[in-house]
Amino acid sequence: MKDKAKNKNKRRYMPGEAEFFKRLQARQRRGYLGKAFNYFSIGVAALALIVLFLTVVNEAFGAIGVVNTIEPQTLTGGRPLEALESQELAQILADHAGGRLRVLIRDTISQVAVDDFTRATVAEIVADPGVDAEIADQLLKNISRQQQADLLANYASPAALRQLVLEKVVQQQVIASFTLVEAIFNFDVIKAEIKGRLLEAYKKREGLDQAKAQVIRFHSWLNGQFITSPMSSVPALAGVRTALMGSIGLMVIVVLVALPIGLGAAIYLEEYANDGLVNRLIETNVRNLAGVPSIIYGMLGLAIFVRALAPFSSGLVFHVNFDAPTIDTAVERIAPIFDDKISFDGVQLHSSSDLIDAAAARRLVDVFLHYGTPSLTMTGHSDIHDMSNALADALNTTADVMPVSADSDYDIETRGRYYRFDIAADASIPDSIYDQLIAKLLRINSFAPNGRTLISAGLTLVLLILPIIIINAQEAIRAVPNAIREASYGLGATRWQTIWRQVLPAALPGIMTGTILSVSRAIGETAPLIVVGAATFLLTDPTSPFSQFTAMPIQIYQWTARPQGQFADIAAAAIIVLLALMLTLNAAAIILRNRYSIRR
Amino acid sequence: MKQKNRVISKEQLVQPNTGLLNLKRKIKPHELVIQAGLFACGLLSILTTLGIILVLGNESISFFTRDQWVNTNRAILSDMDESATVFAVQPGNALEDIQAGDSIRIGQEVMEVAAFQNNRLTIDALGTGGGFERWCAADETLDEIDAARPMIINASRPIKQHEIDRCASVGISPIPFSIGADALAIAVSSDNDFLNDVSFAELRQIFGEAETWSDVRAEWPAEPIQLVIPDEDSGTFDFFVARALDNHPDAMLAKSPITSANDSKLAGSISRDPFSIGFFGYAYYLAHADQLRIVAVDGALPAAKNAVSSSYPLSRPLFIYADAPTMRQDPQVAAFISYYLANVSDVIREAGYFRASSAALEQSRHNWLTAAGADEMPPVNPAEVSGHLAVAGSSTLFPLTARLGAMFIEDGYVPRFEVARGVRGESAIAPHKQGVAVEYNDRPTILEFFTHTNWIPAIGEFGVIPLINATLMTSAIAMLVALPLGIGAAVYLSEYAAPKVRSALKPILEILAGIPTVVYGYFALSFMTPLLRTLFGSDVVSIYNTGSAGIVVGILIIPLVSSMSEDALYAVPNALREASYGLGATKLETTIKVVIPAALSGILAAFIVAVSRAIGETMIVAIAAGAGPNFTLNPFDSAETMTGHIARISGGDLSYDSIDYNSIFAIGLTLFAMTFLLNALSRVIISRFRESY
Repeated sequence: MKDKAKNKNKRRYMPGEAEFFKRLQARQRRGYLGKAFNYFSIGVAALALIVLFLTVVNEAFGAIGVVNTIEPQTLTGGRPLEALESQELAQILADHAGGRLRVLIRDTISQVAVDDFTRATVAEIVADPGVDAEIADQLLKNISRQQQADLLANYASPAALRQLVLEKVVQQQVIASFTLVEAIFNFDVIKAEIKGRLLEAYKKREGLDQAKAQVIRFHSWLNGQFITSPMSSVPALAGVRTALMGSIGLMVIVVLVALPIGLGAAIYLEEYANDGLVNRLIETNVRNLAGVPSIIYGMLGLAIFVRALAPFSSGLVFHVNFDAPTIDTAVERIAPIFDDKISFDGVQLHSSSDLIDAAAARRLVDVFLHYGTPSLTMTGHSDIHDMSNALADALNTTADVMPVSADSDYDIETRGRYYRFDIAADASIPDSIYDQLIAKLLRINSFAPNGRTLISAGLTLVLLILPIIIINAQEAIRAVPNAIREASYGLGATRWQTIWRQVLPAALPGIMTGTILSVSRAIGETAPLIVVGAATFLLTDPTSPFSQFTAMPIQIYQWTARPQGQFADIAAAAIIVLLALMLTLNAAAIILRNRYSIRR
Repeated sequence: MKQKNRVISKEQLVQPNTGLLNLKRKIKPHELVIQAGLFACGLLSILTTLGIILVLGNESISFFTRDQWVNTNRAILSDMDESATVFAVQPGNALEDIQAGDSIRIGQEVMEVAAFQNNRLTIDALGTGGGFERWCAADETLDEIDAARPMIINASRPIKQHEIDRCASVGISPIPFSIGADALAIAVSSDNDFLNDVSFAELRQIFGEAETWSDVRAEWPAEPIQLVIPDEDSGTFDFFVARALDNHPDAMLAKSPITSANDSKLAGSISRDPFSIGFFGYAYYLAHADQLRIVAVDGALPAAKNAVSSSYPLSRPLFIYADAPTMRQDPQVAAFISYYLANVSDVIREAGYFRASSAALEQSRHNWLTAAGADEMPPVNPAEVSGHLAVAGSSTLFPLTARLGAMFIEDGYVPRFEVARGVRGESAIAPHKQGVAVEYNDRPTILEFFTHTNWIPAIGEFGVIPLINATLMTSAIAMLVALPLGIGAAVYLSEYAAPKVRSALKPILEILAGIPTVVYGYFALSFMTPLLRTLFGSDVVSIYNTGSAGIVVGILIIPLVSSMSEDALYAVPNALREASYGLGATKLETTIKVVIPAALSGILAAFIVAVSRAIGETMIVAIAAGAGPNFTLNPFDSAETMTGHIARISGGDLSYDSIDYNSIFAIGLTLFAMTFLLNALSRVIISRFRESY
């Protein structure tokens, strides 16, 4: 036993040669293993990047199976669609989509607000006083279908008309989509599958032109049309223009606001600040802020910019989006929604149309109160609930001064809920209460300032990236050699002159690089925008900082969250657009860095 | 020219305010303005932090203090009209949570509960002895929750002297109210043709020493007597043993009787064997009368004309007991007993017992009048009775008392509350409908917030644990991925890679770090989840799961871990490495035993920052981890994280005046506190434990 221990000791200090080499080899083996693990680690990181890109590319390109409800050839008598004149295209629309011509006009050539559309004259709609005098003062619904088609032909571009024909008449439908890998390696198999699905589609829908249906073709979801089209609920027609514009808008706001403030803070911290308590606090605080999760900034933005500063962020104080709302504008707006189904003195109001939304319901409350209707009966579906709830809410608040009663029941005839509100006929509403009520209603209805705008989101992102900009700029300023400052002082320059004329120009490339990288991070941020309230479905580009907005990452999130496969495809295409945008920014940063770092 | 040679003294040059080189004097006002502006820029960051804390704190406070209306779905009000201020709850619904002073909402109207009568009747079956024992127990052995002192005792026998003594010691003098009688039936199989009548003495022999029927009476067959008797635990057994066997059941039990607690089994056993005999409660005999034949004892049957025969030896009286002070203090007790006495005779037959003789009932009424101190016994209206009623005692009497209790409740003895009208208006807005539920307000407490395991805002359950749990799970999975790989990559870059390779690989990590997280979310959903489902089976792995989200979050933070760790490793001076190599260490040994320990504070800081980043990560988990809070530890299940929940809730058209809106800020504050502490910790580690060279 003792011997063994001794032996062990001996070995530890003086191994024999064979033993020594054996152990050396073992250590080297371990060394190789360790090395292998380190290679593996970096390999996984690189692989993840590659797989990520491949996944995106794989989805963004591929094969699709398409059916057309009506083949373009049958419409045009064999000529390609591109060769048709505006007049002919409009004729096709008139022939095949006759009932929807007004909608098409509203969505393509109308120059008036959607809410005002039904009450606008033709001249107003096309914004052209020189329009055929016969119809100029008519409401659109009162002119003939042929005249409507002529309007389209005269005022819409051939490209837009062609798009409309494809969308509304040809009604191209993607019945299946396949990824790039599937399309390349399994083309025959998917061809067979698509044929099967095609047959199913034919079984389900009559009138499909089976013989000439296009069965399968390669398709890039990322194409020119994808970039230039607005959002659509049909994946094949959807595009990212609105989102792209939103992202660019955000970028502009972020650069304009964050750069000066961030730079200012950095200059202060680097050039002016002594080692006092406040300055150290600022310094620490900036670093802390850089670690706060982005969604928290979203919540800050929601509470401050969207809610507390709503009059500012909605543009109300600038009179950008609307004039201060009055009860008269409310009444004015409600009329087209109910068309002629509403009469204010009776009042029998019935609508099962899908035009009623919660906002409309609230406007109805205005009308109701405005006219002091003695009693109002509403029947209808789903959203009527909102309407009556809003009304009940409004009435609740005045229950102590206004004898009111409300009743609701199930209405078998309309299979909807039936609501009845009665204000006692001799009830007179005191003016003060009436004013209060209107104030309350205006706050809840859609005329209330809505702060979920581009500027709110932009400022939220500014707060988010400020710490990063500050830290980057500080580093850039710190990298400017002190010799430059001393030389400047030596020549009698003041501190500000030194900073403005010497330090900043020397630090500028570094600052720009940092800023660009921060901005590229900002436009990739999704969570704060969700919280601040980016619109999920928006057809119009943002026109001012006070517009509703959506952004690229929001669009990607929306599409990713949808179950249908084709949305995953366009999400991938949108990802490529977003990455390209960011890559451009990053490349700019790298070029800046490389060009100017040579000088130093 | 003269001036050229002028000598300027040092004092002249730097003289304050007048000196030529006085830099101070040269600060122009606009420079001060600039400086102030720059300072304001710096100050903005502090304002941001303050803003975050104020906003999160303020909304969290409103979350914990706002009234939210919880629909109980339990209290269904039977009848409501505009002028009513007292509402009765329909039988079968309880209202434990409402107290006087609470706000409740009925229909559209908010009302304050002025008084709440939680009327309820509890009946415990403890056995007669057990009932008396609890009734007369010393105060210290009672407790309010499971063993409150009963007010009324069900008794299937008269109280015994020692029980009376005991009650006297706690100041209770029991008053009996005779309410009926029970009798045992002696039954044989309907195939039995010899046993028609039996004397009480013979019965004692049959259930005692006699072995065969002929031992009892010579003309009966010489067959062994098969006894069939109820369980020893039953009151029926006790009663029989006491009455017929003078409390000596040994001989009976020695004859290996068939016993069961189930009376149909007993009846079956008797009916199959003509030489068997058994006893039941009369009610049970009636239930099996078709298989059995009842035997008269001493020429008397238990019942004649539905009343107990006074000559039948195996009958027992049934009582309820109460005491006079209780009846006076708690009028509901007197009321219930009065109701009991008035109605018991109508229902007692259905319960299988016998009416008390009219003399006995008269005595009971007399006792009631004496105890209650009243001159007459008016009919009771249960709808006017309020207060808790606790009954305990005999299980024999239980069904009867329960039956009367149910009648009492049906007639209006129900929980009811009185409301003060007009908390928000003078009168009801709308006539309320029948069947409207009461909603009462409930504020989520901080304790509940951090301890409950359900997050279901719709029913007022706000326990943040499932959300925190999911967040910690995705973060832990992410760290399992990112920590080894990130450090491995850092070691590679700092120790192994040639400068050229390094400068080529670092941008890859930078690109990885620069990709928007929503893209990672897409990657998780369209690549990682299908991969996991292929590997582990799609029945095991849900479409949305924390595992996939966690792994991808891990990939996202690899660059963070590796770049921070690499900075730390890179800062370790080469002298340390060279010393290690000089001692013959391999590269791996140098790295693990020298370089990494030297850089440990930096690596630890990287780890903590990475955890904080993983906790705060939103889009990946929002897309891939699932929607809907779920308290699970299975990484293949879907579960919503804190950030995912905030994103989902605020993604909809969130109303500012809702508990949902407030609740996401409470979650946000929790999240902020977690990440803030982690970040602060990492900075402390860097500054405190840094090895500097």
